[in-house]
Amino acid sequence: MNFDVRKDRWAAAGALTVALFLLAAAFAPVLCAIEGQDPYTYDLDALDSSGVPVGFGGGISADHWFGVEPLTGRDLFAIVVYGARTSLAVGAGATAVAVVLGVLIGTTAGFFGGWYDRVVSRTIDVLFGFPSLIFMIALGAIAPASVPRPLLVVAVVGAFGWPSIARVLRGQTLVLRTRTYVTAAVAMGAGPARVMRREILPNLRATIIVYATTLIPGMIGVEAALSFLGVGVAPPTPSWGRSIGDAIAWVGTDPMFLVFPGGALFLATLAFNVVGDGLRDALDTRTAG
Amino acid sequence: MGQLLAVEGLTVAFGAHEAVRDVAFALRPGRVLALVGESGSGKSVTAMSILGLLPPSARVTGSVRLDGEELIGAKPARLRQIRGGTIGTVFQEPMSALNPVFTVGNQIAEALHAHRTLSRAQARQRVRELLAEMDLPERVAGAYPHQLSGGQLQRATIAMALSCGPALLIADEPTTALDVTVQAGILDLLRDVCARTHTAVLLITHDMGVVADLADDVVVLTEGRAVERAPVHDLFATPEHGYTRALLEAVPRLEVAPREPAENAGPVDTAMAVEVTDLVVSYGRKVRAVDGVSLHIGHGEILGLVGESGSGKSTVARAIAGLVRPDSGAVRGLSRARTGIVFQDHTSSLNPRYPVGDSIAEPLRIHGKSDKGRVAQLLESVGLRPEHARRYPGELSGGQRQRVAIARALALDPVLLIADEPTSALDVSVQARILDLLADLQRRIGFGCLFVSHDLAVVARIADRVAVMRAGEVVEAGPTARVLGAPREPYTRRLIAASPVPDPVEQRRRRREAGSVGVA
Repeated sequence: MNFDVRKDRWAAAGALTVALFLLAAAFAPVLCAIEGQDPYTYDLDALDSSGVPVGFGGGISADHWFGVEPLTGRDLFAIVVYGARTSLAVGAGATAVAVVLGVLIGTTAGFFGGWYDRVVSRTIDVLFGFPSLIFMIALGAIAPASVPRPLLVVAVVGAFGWPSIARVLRGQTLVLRTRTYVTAAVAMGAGPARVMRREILPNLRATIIVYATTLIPGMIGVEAALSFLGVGVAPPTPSWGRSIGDAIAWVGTDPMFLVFPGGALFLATLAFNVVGDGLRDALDTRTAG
Repeated sequence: MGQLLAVEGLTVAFGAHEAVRDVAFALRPGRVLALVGESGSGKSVTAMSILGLLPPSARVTGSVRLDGEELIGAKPARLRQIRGGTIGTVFQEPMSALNPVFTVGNQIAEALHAHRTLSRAQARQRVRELLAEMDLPERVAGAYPHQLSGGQLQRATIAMALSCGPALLIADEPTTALDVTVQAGILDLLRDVCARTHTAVLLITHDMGVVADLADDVVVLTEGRAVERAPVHDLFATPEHGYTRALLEAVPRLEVAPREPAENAGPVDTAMAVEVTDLVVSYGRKVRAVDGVSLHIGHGEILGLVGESGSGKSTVARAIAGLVRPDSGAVRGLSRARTGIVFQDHTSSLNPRYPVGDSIAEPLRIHGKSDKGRVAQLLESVGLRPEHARRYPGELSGGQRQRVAIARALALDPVLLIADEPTSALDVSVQARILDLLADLQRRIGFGCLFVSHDLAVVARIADRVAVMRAGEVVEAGPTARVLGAPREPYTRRLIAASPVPDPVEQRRRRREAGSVGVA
């Protein structure tokens, strides 16, 4: 395997950005402690009488590195780094759910075929055409408050995310199943579980890794969209999507309120996509034999 | 001079690696020049460099003159005119050379329109003429590629290559994917085209039988160098270069020498390793791949199962191995643990994710046996070193991979070894060594062996008995010398007649004979 992401400058920059986001998310309390702020405390002193942040760039100062939120004066830097926690956790969690479901369903459908495969394939078709965002909005609106919002978002986004990876893995399994080494394993007396574990899955590893990486930004995007629409994680938990939603109303008077969470979302999704592309190039399974 | 194509000092480099080094040859109209070599010899790269079809990473130097015009460094627009115009090309895989979504006639007409201005009626007329010249029925024009046989498709691609009346036809392994009886027809067709239209043919092949059958002159390539250039008769009669001699010696011939019996086998070994009776296997409802086949293989005996594609020979092997479920009939004397199987495709017979030692140990692990020391012992028995266990399949050559596959098949001390075309994807010199290895192992260990092959010469070299299959049935079976030396069935005779022998004089004699008997 030719694993050399370093060759690719874009992928390296992407990986660095992803690492910075992960660090920021992990050390959000530390970073905020250094700044001396938290994402929940109102600071009305930073606002003028109409609720607009006082000072340059939405109230950027030594106290508020990214300025403050209009109307509340909450620290925007704290909101962005805590928002990274929400976005990355929900993105990774939803991706994990989607990948586990996709691998289980896709490989078994490709391997066993028959009526099971037909049912799975039609289900995938239906899910592809399904208005999943509307469904998620509806579900978010009617779900009882006792269900923790982040978990609900992870489960729902993940449950709608598996068809694409399942379809790809089904196709690859169909091809792998006809490889001579699979036939040879069957001829040696290996059962389906062993063939799956020893012969098929190791050859799908690269695809799964690449696909998982490219799924994450999409998942982060869906979480942001749901929060933007007010059915994602519940306030006051910071979320890029909700901040962006709030910032739309203030674009004329305080554009920086949109720029920081929006920029974070943009950078994070771009970085994950670039890393995914780099991984695809590095792990491309055109190995000899 | 009258030289149509003159190649001088042709060198093709990919980075630091020179795939072709200082190759020179010339071709006159109406002649067939064969570029012969094993895989990696540079023969296809040479052909592609004439067409200007190498990837941009290739650095081509030297001179290729077509009718005096230099092609190396020629403008892309000019090369496009030449490709399909002055030079027609036929590739190995007719199925992938044609677009599956257009009719054959449509694609030939497309080739015509690319180089000439013709009305649709004129094009249709020309397509009809071309198909007739290829001995194809008119309905082929309206057929899609999947509706035609491999031989018909290859005739259609030849028609396409000839559509603009090229001066040179490059045929890259044109018959390698075809059955021998079909191959014979295609070779006749190429010979006929060459004589009638005075088209020069550059034939690229690894098959010495094809060379003997078709070529006038031969260039032998190895590792990118042309080591010998000679008229075909001289080359076969008095090969000068050591490599050419080794290559000719490695080619299996249809002569039958009695094999030494297995050491473990008694003088009369009546014990059956496996007995198959009235085997019937069908795919779907209609297709009977195997239709009432009965066979037996003794301990220490190699049974050669020969037939053309679609004859059901591989299905018989797979049914015995337990890979397909027979509709009826019985396979007696075997448990799966006592069967080893070696497949044709050495590129995918080993899982690329594991070192080959793991692949060899896999059957032992499946059956809960210890693999300690056994892997090294198996590797040595197939002529590899214990260190090879840590290598990955991609790091081994085709011949080495096939040795590993044999080691894996022998891991459980099989009563029966099933070898399904084990050498068909290998170069002849490698094939010869693998056949020797199989014969040697079989003598030492004394397993029964079902050797499936389309190649009569290979079977003649290794099998004690031969069964000939056609359309799901065994048409003739018996000792190798009897079946191949004095065949009783017309089909066996046709098969033997169609297999080209690596000897141009003998091949010409056989062709005349076959012509008078009416063999296609």
